[in-house]
Amino acid sequence: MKTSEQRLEHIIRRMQTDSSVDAPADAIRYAKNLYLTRAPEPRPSFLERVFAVVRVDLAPNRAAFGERSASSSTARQMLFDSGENAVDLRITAAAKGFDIRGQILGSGFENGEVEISSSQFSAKTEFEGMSEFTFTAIPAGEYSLVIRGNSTEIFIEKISLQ
Amino acid sequence: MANPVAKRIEVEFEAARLSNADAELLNRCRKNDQAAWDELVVRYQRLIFAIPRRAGLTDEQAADVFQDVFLTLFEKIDEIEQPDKIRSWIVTTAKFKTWAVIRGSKGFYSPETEEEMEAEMAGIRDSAPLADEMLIELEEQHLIRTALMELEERCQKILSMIYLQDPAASYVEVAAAINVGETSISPLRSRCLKKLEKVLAK
Repeated sequence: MKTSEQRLEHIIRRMQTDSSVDAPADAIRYAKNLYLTRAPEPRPSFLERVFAVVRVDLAPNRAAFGERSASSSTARQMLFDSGENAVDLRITAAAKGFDIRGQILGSGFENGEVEISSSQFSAKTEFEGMSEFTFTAIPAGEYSLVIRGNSTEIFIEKISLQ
Repeated sequence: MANPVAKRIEVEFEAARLSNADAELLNRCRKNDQAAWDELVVRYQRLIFAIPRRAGLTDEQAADVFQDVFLTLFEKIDEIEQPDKIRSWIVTTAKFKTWAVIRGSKGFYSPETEEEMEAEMAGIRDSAPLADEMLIELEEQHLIRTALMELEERCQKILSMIYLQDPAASYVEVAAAINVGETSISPLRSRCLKKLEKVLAK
């Protein structure tokens, strides 16, 4: 077993005979860049936020937008304009709270996530394909809704669930 | 009688904490952390480049071995079973690939297993280019450099200037660099060495 002094001498000798040098910069760059083929495409750190404006807000049992008056809905329908997109929400009262079905119309939202939140409750879900999403059993309250797509975020400032 | 496969001599330092830090880094690499991969490259680049160079390869050949080692590490990163032993894995892989070049094989053909390689090297009169003692020295120097980075900046400066610089800095030069009196250097040097030893011993 080496004494502390012997161990220190060993360490010193190793340092004094260390003639290593850095690898060439382009070799190091090559090694680092290998990883680029592994990491998934990063989501943009900056999403353009677009505020949505309500265009239609139909209470239940009124004719749903785009449907004939004979087929009135039990859902409250809200339609929001948001730049080049629109957001169609159908809100129905459920046994517990409210169910919300939504769809983002227009391009740029082929997949992403939606978050609904108030000061007391929040929920998140994802969408893809038809850009449709669903929340169930949302408690009554005043909520904001954020829809995050590829490079744009749609912000609906206030949805009252009463 | 066939030459016995040489038993690998171990490094003198325990360095468990450094090995655990390596394991943590490797696990982060597995979770698509580019920064962790960059850190792994920076941490090991000197050691991996040193092995083929000390074995007598040209800088160009050494750079080829270097890139091949990292390519293999990248390909196998999810398969390495003991992340805390990544240092041994890297040294062995660099040794394999260096040996293949020394053997004068076409491309980078290597023996199938470490045992085959060791047996092949043992059968050759002079396998000094990749002698265990040389590899241990390089590995220990890597551990010392890594441990040095864990010390405070002043200790890094003192020990680097006195022991890693060539020619070594004088106490006057070190004192000027860290803004203390020359008579403080000797006790500071001792304290820093003890701290370095402690990192290597844990």
